[in-house]
Parts: sequence; C-alpha cells; structure tokens
Amino acid sequence: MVINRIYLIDRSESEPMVSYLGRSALAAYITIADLIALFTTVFRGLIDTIVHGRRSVVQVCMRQVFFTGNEAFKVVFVISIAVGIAIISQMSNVTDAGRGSLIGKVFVWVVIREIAPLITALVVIARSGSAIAIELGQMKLKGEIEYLETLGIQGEQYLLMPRVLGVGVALFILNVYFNLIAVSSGLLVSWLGWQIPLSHIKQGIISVLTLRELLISSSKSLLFGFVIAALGCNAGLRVGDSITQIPQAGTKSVIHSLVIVFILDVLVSFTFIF
Amino acid sequence: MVLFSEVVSDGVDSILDFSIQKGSAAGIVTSREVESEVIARLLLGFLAPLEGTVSVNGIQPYLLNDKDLSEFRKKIGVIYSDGGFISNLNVWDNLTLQLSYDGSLKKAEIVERGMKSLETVGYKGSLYVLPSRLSIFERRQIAFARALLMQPILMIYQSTLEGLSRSEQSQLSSLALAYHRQGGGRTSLFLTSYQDSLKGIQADLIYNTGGAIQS
Repeated sequence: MVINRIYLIDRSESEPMVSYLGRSALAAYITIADLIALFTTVFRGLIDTIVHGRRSVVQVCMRQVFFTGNEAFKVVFVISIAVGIAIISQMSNVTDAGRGSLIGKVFVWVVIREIAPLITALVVIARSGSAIAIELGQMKLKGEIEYLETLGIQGEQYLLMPRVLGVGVALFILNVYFNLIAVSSGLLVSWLGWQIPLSHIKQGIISVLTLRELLISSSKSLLFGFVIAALGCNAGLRVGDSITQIPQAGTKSVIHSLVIVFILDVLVSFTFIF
Repeated sequence: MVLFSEVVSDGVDSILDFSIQKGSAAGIVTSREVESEVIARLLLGFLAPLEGTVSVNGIQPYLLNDKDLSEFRKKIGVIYSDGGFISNLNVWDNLTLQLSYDGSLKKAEIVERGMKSLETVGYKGSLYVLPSRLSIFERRQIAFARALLMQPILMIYQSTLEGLSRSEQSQLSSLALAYHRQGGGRTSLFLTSYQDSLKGIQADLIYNTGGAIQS
C-alpha cells in the first residue's frame, strides 16, 4: 500500500516528458557551449603564457602533470598488466594458442586503439576530474579566485589552462605506459603459459601497428584529457555559495566526463575509419 | 584620487559620498564588516554600483575590460583581514605569486625582492608552511609583504588592524604609515567597522558610512 502511494505521488509530481527532454537538451547545450568557451580561454591563455613567460602558470601545469600522471601510474600499472594477461588468455583460448600473429593484431586493435585510452581516461576521471572540480569549487567558495584576481592574475588563465593542458599531457603519457605494460605482460604470459613463440605475436603486432594506429590512440588520450579537465573546471567554477554544491560538482564532473568520453571515443574511431 | 559619488550598492545601507585626495591616508568606518568588503570590491571592480560613480584616479574600474582590469588591480595593494591567500600554496609561493605570474623578473630577482620584503615586515616564520598554519598577525604580515613587492599607488587595508594585540596593531600601523610616507602620491585607505582600530594611523580623514566626516 505504502509503495503504491509513493509511486502514485511520484507519478503525479513528475514533469511531462517533453519538458524533461527540453530541459535536458538545454543543459547539454549549455555544457557544450561552456566547454567551447573554456577551450577558447585555454588557447588564449596558452599564447599569453608563452609570450609573457609566466612561470607560475607553467608551475601549476607541471604540478598537474605530476599529480595526474604520477599518482595514477600505480593504478594504471596494475590494470594494464591485468588487461594484457586477460586479452592474451582469451585470445589464446579462442585461437587454441595456434595463431600468434592474429593474437598480435587483435592486441593492437583492441588494446592500443580502444582499451588503453578508455581505461586510462576512466582512472583519470575518477581521480583527477572530480579532484579538479572539488578543488576549484572550494577555491570559489572561499573567495580565493577573487583573491587571485585582486593580484591582477586572470583566474581563468591561471587556473584553467594549466589544468587542461596538464591532464591532457598526463593522460597521453599514461596511455603510452599502459600500452607498453599491457603488451609486455601479454607477451610474457603467452610465452610462459601457452608457449606461443614471441616472434609470431610480435610479427602480428608489427604488421598492423602503423602510425595511424598510434595516432588514434594518442589523439584519443590527449582529447580525453583535455575534456576531462575542462569538465572538472567547469563543474568547479559553477559552485555557488553553498558547501553542499562542492560534492555535487565532483559528481557532476564524473558523470559528464564519462558520457562525453564514451561519445568522443566513438566519434574519433569513426573519424579514423572513414 | 578615490571618489565615491552618491554610490548606492547592495550590502551598504547608506549612500556613499566621499573623496580621498591622492597621497592622503583615510579611514572609512563602516557599520558592519560586510560594508568594508563591498567598498573594497567596488574599488577593485568586482562590483558595479547600482547608482552613482566609483573612480580611482579617474578610472571607473567596473567599466574596464578583463585585461585592463588586471593591469589596474596590479596598482592596488589589498591587505585582507584573512590575508587573502591561495590555501594550497605555501607562504613563499603566495608571496611571490604575483611577481612570478608577471614574468618580467628573473627568479633570482624575485627571491631577492621577496626576502627583502619579508625582512621589512619582520616575518620570521617558515616560508614553506601553508597559510592555514599562520596566525592572523602573520597572515597580515605576509599579505603586507606581498603588496610591497608591487609598490602599489593605493593600499586598501580591509579590517587589517582588527583582532590583534596592541603591539601587533602598532607594528602593522607603523608599517602602513612608513609605506605611506615614502611618497610618490601613495594613498592609503583603512576600512574598518571599529573606529578605535584607527587610533594609530594618523588619518587625514575619517569617513563614517553613516555620513559623518572628520578631518
């Protein structure tokens, strides 16, 4: 009875579908417009930093690369070994350990092109995207962005540009590490566990590992990094006067990043296919 | 010259109408702390008045674009009551942030100027702690040292002399007066909601936001 009542109340108070869709579309449009504006600011900030040699901005950027890249490395290390072993094990079973070159090809198509940029992005979304949103949200709430601007420092330039570039670079490096570790661990396990000659797998990898494949993987990781940081910044800077908006900003940054990263992954893959 | 001409703004109960001549030291006594904050924000261009005009040396800050506003703010030193620091930067990084962002000085010059400035304000604590570990007095010392680095033409002291012991208050007042008297048409503006805290600064003018002016 109680459940029914709650269900009825919820139904009667829920907004019409058209209104819900319209509101969601508007929210998505605002987020995308904010992202474009943010990237424009980042680009202008980059030029200004280079022209004026702004050391403090470079410092923030390096710090961001360190925090995002170095501290996520342990997690990426473990996951990349596990992924390398899992893919090799599955492929070895499917091919009955007989076709080393096919295993190598699948490795490039699946791990290097798809899984590595996606998993490293997921790790960074969970660690750095939410952290950026919370940090900036707290700074905004405590008035620190205004303190920066009082010093004649353009808050957007000092806070956004180094974070967006820093996360992009860090994700690119993490992606390289992921690929190297996953391939190495996969090769080792296939050789030790299934006695597949390393030369066969190597041959398969080399035959399909072109500059194009590396470009797909690298451009995805860079793009994901820029977007994750930009969404984190955007969520953080939208915090108003209430402390409860800070954790909400963290959550929002994670959700938006997840959705957009998966959509971008498909778009980039399609762009390179056609 | 700092001019508030029939200014109406959110957060201020009365109409603000006063002018402070270039090179003078003035105290503005507000009825509550939020009024001090609003006056500082109006001067820095974070707020535009609902009515009236605010100008500093003929410039209306709220009409400037982002770039010009940044340049304008570099000429104003603000000593906030809590120091006005970035909480995840240590004392040294906070102190030299403006210089290092500006990019016009070499690292060695920044170090030299930073150390000299700390010596002037008499700060003897660690340079590598976060601002949250500092006392109120130390925060204001560092904020003063940071402002000194840019040699501003207008200094705004926002409740800077409140909540301190007598000796700390007199130390900061002496520093403020010494900087003010170095000449060059420096203007000092002490915003406070406790008129007693202005005793040590020998203000040329004390304006009460309620309307009374003492010269």
